[in-house]
Amino acid sequence: MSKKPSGGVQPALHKVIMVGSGGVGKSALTLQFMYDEFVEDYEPTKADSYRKKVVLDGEEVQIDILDTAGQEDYAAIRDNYFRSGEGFLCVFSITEEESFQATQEFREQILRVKNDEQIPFVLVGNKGDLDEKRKVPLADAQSRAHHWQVPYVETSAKTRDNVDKVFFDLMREIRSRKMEENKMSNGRGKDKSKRKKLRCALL
Amino acid sequence: MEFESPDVEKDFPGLYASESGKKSNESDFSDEAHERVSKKDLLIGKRKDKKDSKKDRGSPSKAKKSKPFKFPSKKEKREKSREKDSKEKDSDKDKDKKKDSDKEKDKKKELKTKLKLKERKKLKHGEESLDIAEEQPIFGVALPLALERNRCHDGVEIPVVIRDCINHIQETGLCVEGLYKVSGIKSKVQHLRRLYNQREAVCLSDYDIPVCTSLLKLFMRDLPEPILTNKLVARFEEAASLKDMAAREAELKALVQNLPACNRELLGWIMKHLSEVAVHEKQNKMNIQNLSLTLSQPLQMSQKAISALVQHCDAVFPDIKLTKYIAPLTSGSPGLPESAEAIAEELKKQESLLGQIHSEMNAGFVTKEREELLWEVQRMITQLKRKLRLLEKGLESSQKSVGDETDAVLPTNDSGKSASSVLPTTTTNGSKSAAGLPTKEEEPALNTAVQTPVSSPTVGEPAPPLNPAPPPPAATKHVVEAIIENSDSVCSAQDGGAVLNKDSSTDQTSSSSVDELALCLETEELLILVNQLQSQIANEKAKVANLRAEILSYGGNPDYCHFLIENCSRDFDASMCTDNPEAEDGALLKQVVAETQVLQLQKKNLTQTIIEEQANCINLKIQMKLLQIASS
Repeated sequence: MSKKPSGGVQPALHKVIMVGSGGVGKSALTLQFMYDEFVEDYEPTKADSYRKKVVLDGEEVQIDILDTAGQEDYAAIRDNYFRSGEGFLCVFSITEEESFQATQEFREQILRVKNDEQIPFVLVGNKGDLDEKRKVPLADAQSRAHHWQVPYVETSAKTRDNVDKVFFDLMREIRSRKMEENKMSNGRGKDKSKRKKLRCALL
Repeated sequence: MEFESPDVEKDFPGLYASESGKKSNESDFSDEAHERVSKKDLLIGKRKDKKDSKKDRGSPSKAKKSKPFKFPSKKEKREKSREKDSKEKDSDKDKDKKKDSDKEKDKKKELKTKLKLKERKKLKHGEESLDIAEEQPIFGVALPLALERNRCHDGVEIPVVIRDCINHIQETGLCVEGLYKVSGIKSKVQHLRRLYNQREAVCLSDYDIPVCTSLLKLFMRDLPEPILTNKLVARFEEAASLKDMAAREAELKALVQNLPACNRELLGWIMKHLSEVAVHEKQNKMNIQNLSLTLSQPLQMSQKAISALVQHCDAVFPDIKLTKYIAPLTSGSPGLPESAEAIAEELKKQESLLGQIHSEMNAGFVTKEREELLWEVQRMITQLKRKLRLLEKGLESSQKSVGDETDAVLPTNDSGKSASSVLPTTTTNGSKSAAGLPTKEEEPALNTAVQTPVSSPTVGEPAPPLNPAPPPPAATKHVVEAIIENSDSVCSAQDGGAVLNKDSSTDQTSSSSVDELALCLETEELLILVNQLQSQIANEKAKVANLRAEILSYGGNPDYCHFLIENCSRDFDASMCTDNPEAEDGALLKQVVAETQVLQLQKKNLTQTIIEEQANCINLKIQMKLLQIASS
């Protein structure tokens, strides 16, 4: 069970969680990234987890991907996963307006669980290959991402467009976030607690 | 002062679903109000509560009641005094009512602790996780709770701790003298209890048998209600004292059906196990009488009841079989099962495990390790599902499943069950097991000495024909043949009875027929194996020579050693000659001889498994090579 200590010789491990409504292509993105395959047939996910060794800017790291259920039915177990996630890919389908609206709720849920506005997060508009069926204007998505201060990327799990990019961008964010935290805890621990207090007061 | 507490419930919808449900149903507000005193109170509350309740429980003398017999165990006292607390008069008719009220009380208490737990969670959330061993222990709680918290994930409804104990004893302890009578080292037993309570991985086979028996007894003794239940225990006693065998059996059978399912299953396991213990009474000196005398207290039932249940266990528990528990695979396990059924079975286990982790986390026990485990189990499930899907899709795509993420995964076996048990033998591995499994230094020497027939200067053949063990040099040819035969049968089963081609010329690899290719590969593998075994044999020979030299250096004749042992045990068997000053030594020797027998038996089993595994390995290697060739 604990034969693989995460520290020491083991490469850094980044934990990524896929969120978004049902059927937007979270599993498709994950499988494309993991195994270079595109699965046509739709089968709702309950939860799946993958691990892969990748080279991130010359450094070997491991990525843990947790593919969650889009359906509300599994919301109860979702929290257990959210808590341990270090970065989130919030996926919607550009061909489905509701899925875009739902990203708002997912964002809120994540922020509640993580209690951290700065959590590494990428807004992903999937099914970019179906541009002719687009229901979510690029500008809308971009403005939401801007509002959240997160990147927005359009992908296609089918054509593998930007698939690696979203995962790698997110891992970079997680990595820099971790480095920042290390610094904080080493040097300016006080600042952090001050900042936290301030936020609590605001709430 | 309130920190982030008020948000928590909002953050985790469904987190307290079960509690809040109960709250609306049965809690009275005063209770709740009472709970929300101050943080300090809450933090120390639990302990206080414990102390108080102990005080409340009154003196044991008062608690005596009209029960068929009494157990001086603490729990029993508590139980009884609790009944007293309910302030109803002692009459047998009222008993059930009382018990109900007890139950209600218990429920309330649980609710209280749950509420407390919740409060504490609110206070501490994110800073420090709760101690699961303290809040949700496995020992000392009602059986259904213990079961829920300590589940076997293969569908057998008894707590893992008991399963582990029984497995371990069944495997290696049945011949231990004074089994269940001899107590284990207390500190070790307590340590094990703590490990189980903390849900840590435990390898019981690292512990001595007496520690296991004591742990089992401890668990049973700590059960707040006897396993026969307060309601039925008296009737069990009555039934057990029936003179007529048939009537007794029928009555016990009927009563057992009235037990809650989890009690029935656990009782069945224990009784079946005890009957196995009694079967070995010659070696372990524990017949039914001794066993029931020893276990009457811990099992919270009379000797008579134990004897009767053990005696009739086959009839009373016809559907219970003592099966070995194979825990869900972990990332450290050698590989995923191969066949679809085995995968499905493993998948079930993993999902059961996942459910348990989720429920523990939902109850607030969130630690880094548990989160880690959650992801790991989830990953295992994903892999299994994926493999299953690929299997269903056919062989073509199955090549991919081996790739990518499953670094360390090396297919080991069809059965999946043994996937986690025995590793394929390497040269060193083989020679180790050849030297006899005992870890102690002297034992291998003794082993060989005992095995050696008086005259033969070499280590003799394995005694029974059943044992085609690789190590002994004399049996080499048999072994190789046995292995060849073994893998043949496996292989030919697949190849549709194709004849084995022993030519290993690599030219033939280009042959068009897949079958032929497979056979060539197999021959190659087998030749490699032969070489390996031969080198192992050479090693063994050297070792034997060394050991014999050692024995000689101690001034003994290696052959005499065996003679001595035989002699002594014969003396002992014939009559206990008390005037013999060496009687003590003889007893010791006898014990050692008995131990050796057990160990030899184990060795036999293990070598058999090794051979089976080897055959499987060869088979798999061939399949892999075939696939490689096919893909290139």
